[in-house]
Amino acid sequence: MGLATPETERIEIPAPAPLQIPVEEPAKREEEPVLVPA
Amino acid sequence: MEPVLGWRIWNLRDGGLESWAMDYCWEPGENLATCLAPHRRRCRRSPGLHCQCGFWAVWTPGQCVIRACSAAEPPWHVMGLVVGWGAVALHGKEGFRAERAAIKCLFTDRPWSSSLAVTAPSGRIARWWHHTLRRAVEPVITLPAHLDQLEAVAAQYAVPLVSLRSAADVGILREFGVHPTQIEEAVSLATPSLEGM
Repeated sequence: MGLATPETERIEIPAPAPLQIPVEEPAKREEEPVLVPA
Repeated sequence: MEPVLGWRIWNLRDGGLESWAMDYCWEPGENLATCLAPHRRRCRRSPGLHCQCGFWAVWTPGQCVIRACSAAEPPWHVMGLVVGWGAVALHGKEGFRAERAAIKCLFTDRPWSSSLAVTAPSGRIARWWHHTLRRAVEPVITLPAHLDQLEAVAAQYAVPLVSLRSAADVGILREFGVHPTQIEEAVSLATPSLEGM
């Protein structure tokens, strides 16, 4: 079973870009304050 | 230029998605068309001129359903979305034939079929329904036997399996680039959802 309508146009389409999955950088940890004994 | 997006139907057979017209089982990811025309010289590159080779799809879900309804014996038909690229032959307002194609998603809906039988509960179920919910007996949807097979095949092809309605509601169709009029058409074709039951 194909298409009943005759071909009307022909185009060349480039390959789709590969899926880009954004990589989230780990959040920087805030440096903990150093407790100095009094 | 973006790949063309179209709707089509496969036969679900032996855990794979088989072409309607030809003896070809779709591969996960990219598929490369070759001419399988019998009794004639095969095209050097699909889609050939004056041939029906290539991966075909139609532009709208409605056209897709009409095709399924026109089939003499629709056995295990599955509807889905595909993208096509490479050499692409456009066939007016009907659809296209592409040299390369990949499945984007599959749908649980079978708008051409009565396999989602809506039946009224009876006997013990009806009494439980009435007693527990204090509501009149309402129709329930019988789970289709092939839902497990659909889930397996979607996993094999690594594509989402969704209902038309949820694909529209959560924005999957829009994200794939389906035109808003087609999304409306898809929703109008949606069969009763099994989700949330």
